[in-house]
Amino acid sequence: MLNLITRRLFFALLALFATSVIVFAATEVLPGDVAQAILGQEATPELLKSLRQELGLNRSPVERYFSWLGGFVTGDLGHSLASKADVLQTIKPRLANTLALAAYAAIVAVPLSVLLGIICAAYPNRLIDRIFSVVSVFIVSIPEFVVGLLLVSVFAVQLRWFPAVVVRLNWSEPLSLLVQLMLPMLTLLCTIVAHTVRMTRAALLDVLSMPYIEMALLKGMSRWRIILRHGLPNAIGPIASVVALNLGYLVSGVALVEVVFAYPGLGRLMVDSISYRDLPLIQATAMIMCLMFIIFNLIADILAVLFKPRGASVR
Amino acid sequence: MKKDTIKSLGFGQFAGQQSIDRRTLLKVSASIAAGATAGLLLPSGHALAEEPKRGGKIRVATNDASPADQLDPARLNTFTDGLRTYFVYEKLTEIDANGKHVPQLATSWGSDKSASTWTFELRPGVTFHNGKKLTAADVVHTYKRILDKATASLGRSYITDVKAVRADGDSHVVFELEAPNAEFPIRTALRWMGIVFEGAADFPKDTIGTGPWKLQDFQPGIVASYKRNENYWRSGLPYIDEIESIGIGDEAARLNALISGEVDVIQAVNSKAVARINGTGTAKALVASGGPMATFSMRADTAPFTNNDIRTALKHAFDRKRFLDLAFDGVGVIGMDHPVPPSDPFFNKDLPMPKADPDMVKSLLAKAGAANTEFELHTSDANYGGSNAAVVLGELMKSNGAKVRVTRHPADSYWTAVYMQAAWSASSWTVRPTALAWIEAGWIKGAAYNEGFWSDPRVDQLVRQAKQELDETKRRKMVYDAQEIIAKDGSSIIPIFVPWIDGVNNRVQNLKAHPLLFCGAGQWAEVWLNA
Repeated sequence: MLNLITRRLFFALLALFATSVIVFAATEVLPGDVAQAILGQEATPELLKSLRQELGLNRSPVERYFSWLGGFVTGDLGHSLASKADVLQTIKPRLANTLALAAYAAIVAVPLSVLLGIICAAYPNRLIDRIFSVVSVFIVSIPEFVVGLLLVSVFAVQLRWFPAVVVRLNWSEPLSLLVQLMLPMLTLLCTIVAHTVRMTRAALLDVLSMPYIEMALLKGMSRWRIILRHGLPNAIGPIASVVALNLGYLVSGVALVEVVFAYPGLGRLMVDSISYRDLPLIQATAMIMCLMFIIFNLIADILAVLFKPRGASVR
Repeated sequence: MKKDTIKSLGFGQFAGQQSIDRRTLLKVSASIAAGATAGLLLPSGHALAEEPKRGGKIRVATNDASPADQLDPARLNTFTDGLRTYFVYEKLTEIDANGKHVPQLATSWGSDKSASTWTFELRPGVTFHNGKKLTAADVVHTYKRILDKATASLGRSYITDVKAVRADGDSHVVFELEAPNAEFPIRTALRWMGIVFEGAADFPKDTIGTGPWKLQDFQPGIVASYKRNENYWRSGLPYIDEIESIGIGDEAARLNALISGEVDVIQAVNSKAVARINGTGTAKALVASGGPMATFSMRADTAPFTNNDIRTALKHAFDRKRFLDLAFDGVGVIGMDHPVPPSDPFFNKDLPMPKADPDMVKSLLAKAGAANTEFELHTSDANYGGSNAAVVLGELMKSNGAKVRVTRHPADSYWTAVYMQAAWSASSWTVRPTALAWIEAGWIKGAAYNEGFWSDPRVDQLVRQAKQELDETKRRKMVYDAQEIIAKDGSSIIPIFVPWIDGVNNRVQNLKAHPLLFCGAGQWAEVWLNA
């Protein structure tokens, strides 16, 4: 187990390094730099020159990458090129906002979708399963920003139950925070529930087709006892990895949802920094998102090992 | 400037009329009028309107807030930055909602006979938000910062002709220009010229102005809030206690926020949204009479556009009214292929509007040997009207016999990778305060934004002369002639001036559209809220 974790952590470091190189290279390849992005149509050679001088863009890309890397490994994320603000200070509140929304969505979505998945698996191809399947496929095929806009036009513009945009999170009043985040949460819910329900159902049905389940059936055990005692524990591995992937998505794939709700999260920060070619910010947000994915996958792997069907060797 | 001339400035200028032209005189009298009403709570124009109310909070959603948001007036760039500077900072002079040049931190100004030395007298009794008294040293510091190349201020290009700026005592500031410029005072009204205190250089920490509101809280790209300045020099103003400016980049999200009542003002909406906003019953679209221009400039140094016959043919290959209707839903002002908007007092009223003329297109293209040439027009969604505007233009031109192909590019790298590089590309300008400033920005030799790579010695000469000319009638004639030359020979198709359009909740009172910027250019001191 320890072995697995150390090995995973080693690869995580490698993945982070590779990500930073790729993100840096990709940003370099994009036409334009931060000076041109800031000045836009009004850029003149003279203005560009003085701005580039100030921002240190005259150095070679390799030099800039290593100066960033040097800072990063010593815990210094640097300063935004466009605003000069400290990157860590800029990211902190944004990360908190994104995590709050992700946690909210996860707490609602994970139990709900696992439960629905179990119900579907309990009655395969019956009416209830068909209904859930059709609805979830339908929802998963609508882009999340469309879901978001639909929810806003019904619940914010027409009914006025929930706010259409989230600007300042009301941390001091948890209850009103839940109301404030309702629509973005529901939007995220729609995108991850469908996927998790389908995967839970598939994983469980897979287990339920095993010979030992047939044995249990022949013994005359009830449907729910079989599912909960014998089926579910052995399906937790695959279910956990689906859940973990979706949690990773909640942190790193929410840019569009954040744009629709003007939500001050990490995704919007990344989109903005890319359009400004603001490398320190792009790198830092990319590193965090990459890290989140690695952590959630590690947790999924650990869970998979812990819940491995009896008899398999634990490495 | 010598001491005795200094004495003759300000109100005393009436005595020394010999050295003063009509324009300066008008300005001085305007400043007296403004001084007289400054102490009154109610501006006379609103006597019949509802009684203004003190208090309340106004929430405005802006369109281009980002982590790169600036609070340094010299370095501001986006519309969001521009709007916000009006809350905190003030300038020597101001352009009001009617486009009139009025005093602000300066009470009066005047020049020597050659219009190359300008002296401004500062308003007494003005303090910064930190309690410091406004003096000439603050103004000098402000302008030196803008002029310093290292500041990389976009405002610098408007005042590059300033050779020296110095204080003359505590209350007078003297600008010495390299060449005469009769329009210099108007340039002090531009939003980059917000007066900061002496020594201010570290923003956002030094976000301290003399304006109606003080900065309270600033989170770049998300939100900024402002509290009423209790010591504002215009007594009784502002009416609003608090302003919160929120960044909502997505237009649909901005509209939703306005309609659901979560914000009171939204900056920048498309012409298509006007009917929708007016249809809500709770909000109205605020459409300005003027605005920035959309251009389609051809490079006069690159074939095939080196030939003016081709340029003229394309200028006559579309119906301007139809273009306005199709690409901008009829919301906008038709342009005449020169950069002066019809709202400008120096707009040449004698020039005919270029009409769609298929026969002329055909014969001119044939004459140029380009009857079968396909012209490629480059654009992106970074332009006013999106890339659709160029597509509409291309289709209209095709129907009139010019073969046009429109190529769209990604918005975020358009200005870097395409603009002023492709032979024919769309462009979107911010506004300039005067006709001469427009022409100087892009239509003279060596202009900073000469996107058509075109100039004409006659225009250069006219601009030079006009800047020296303190007589307004003579100056107007020169600007008229320059417009005619640019419209006929220039290499820009300028079909439209796009108005600033915002959405405003009905509880917001007295917010007036402004020709220079969205949201009434943030001149909100006299705006109030109904419950």
